[in-house]
Amino acid sequence: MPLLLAVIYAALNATGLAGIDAHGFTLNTFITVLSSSNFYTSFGFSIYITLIVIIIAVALALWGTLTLKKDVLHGRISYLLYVPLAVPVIVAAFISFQSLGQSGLISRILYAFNLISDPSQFAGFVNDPLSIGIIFTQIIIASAFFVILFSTIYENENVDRLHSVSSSLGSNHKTTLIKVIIPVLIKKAIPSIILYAIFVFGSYEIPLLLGRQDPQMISVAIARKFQLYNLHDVPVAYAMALLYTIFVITCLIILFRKKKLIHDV
Amino acid sequence: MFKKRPKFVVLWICLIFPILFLGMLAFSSTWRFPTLIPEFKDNSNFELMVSGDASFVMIFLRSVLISITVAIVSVATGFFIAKVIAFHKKRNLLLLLAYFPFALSPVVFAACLNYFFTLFLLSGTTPGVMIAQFIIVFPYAIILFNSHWGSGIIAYEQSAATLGGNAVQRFFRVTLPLSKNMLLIGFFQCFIISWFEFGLTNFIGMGQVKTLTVKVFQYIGEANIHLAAMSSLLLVIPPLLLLWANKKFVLRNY
Repeated sequence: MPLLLAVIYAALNATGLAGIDAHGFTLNTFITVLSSSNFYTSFGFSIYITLIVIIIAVALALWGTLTLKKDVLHGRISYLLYVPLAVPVIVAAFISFQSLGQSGLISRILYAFNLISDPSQFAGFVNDPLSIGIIFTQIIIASAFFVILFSTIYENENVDRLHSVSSSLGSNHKTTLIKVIIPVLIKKAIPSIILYAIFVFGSYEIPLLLGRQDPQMISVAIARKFQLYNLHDVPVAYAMALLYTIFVITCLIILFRKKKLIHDV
Repeated sequence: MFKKRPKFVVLWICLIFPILFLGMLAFSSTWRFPTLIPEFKDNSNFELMVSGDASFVMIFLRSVLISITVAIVSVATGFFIAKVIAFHKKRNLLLLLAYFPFALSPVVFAACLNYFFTLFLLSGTTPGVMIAQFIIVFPYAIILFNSHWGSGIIAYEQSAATLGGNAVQRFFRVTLPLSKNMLLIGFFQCFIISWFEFGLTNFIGMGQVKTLTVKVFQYIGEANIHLAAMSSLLLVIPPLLLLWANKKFVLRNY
């Protein structure tokens, strides 16, 4: 119900039927948004960040799960793996801000080892052109989540037993890993991976603190448009929000139709 | 363990780094380049912590109040609504609808809803922030409890009904004991979602409802890294304790 209200109000505002700047029905706002490069840049930039984060985090988590195996769920390390999940994203962004910046912790360590003589010699990964700061921070949080997810699947699906069966049928370790273990883990985890990708796509706090003014991730771009003092930007912000909402809902419906979203209870 | 497996040492250091780093920044007053360890010169940060508008005690208590209220209301309503949905003809469609507000970026959702909060004079108020957070935490509670209701619990309820138990007896003597752990997990997770929330809280609260996440952002904006670290530390401790308790006492019984 609140979502429906939000969508209806956004649609009315974007089409000139509601809001301070309402002057009758028009599709000009959508035409403005869809013909401006900013929207596509933000959208493309969000997809770029999402894909890199998910691919690297899943790869790292698979490696971590297969290396640590049962220690993840039962050993002492199992408690520590929850630490990144207990750190709010805004705090994670703050830690990265203080660690990866030009005068941050890494820069100071490099200085201590005489690898740099001035902070300007350290490139810094805050507001950097490739958004390495954003990607790095997102990967740390996502990897911890995926390690716990994969380890739970590893135990529930009795992957060790599958490994033994595969070996007894003559398969070597590498083949078993590529053709049995990794596909089982990925297949079971795919709904959570896609949902996580949707969260990364719409992430706000990390790109807000660590990102550049241009390009901006989609949530930051929309929120900034809402917060601008120019009233003509408000319908544009609503149109962008509506297009983003339609994109996310379409992704969820596709997942639902492919029976990847909701499992049988 | 550590002698045999040095990789654990590296992992330990990496995982406890956020806490150590925040503690180091929070309990210091200056950190000039190129010093590695921040210096402690005076206790002005501590004075700010317990006095004036920046009183961390008040901000912490406000944040706890918001998160506990949101978590309790979400768990209480989500638990029963999830039961209705779990046995509804259109269960899958209703669950899909529950995913929508949960998957959208909270700040975008808040921006679109803000008009209604302004209309009902809820913008910039603590109840407004609670309602806004409830709108995204409640669907999560439904998704979480939906699988619980499908786990055979209804069969026990029906058995109790066959043996003559009325609705109240069935709830307090069958459903509640069987659902205790799940309710605790649900409470922890709903609390943490609310506790971590920044974008929506800042937008609906208009920066006037000062929770710990909002203060972290404000202190970063003011370049006061020590108070930002102190707020961050206070933000991290409750979820750590909850996750530890969750793993140690609740998941152990599952």
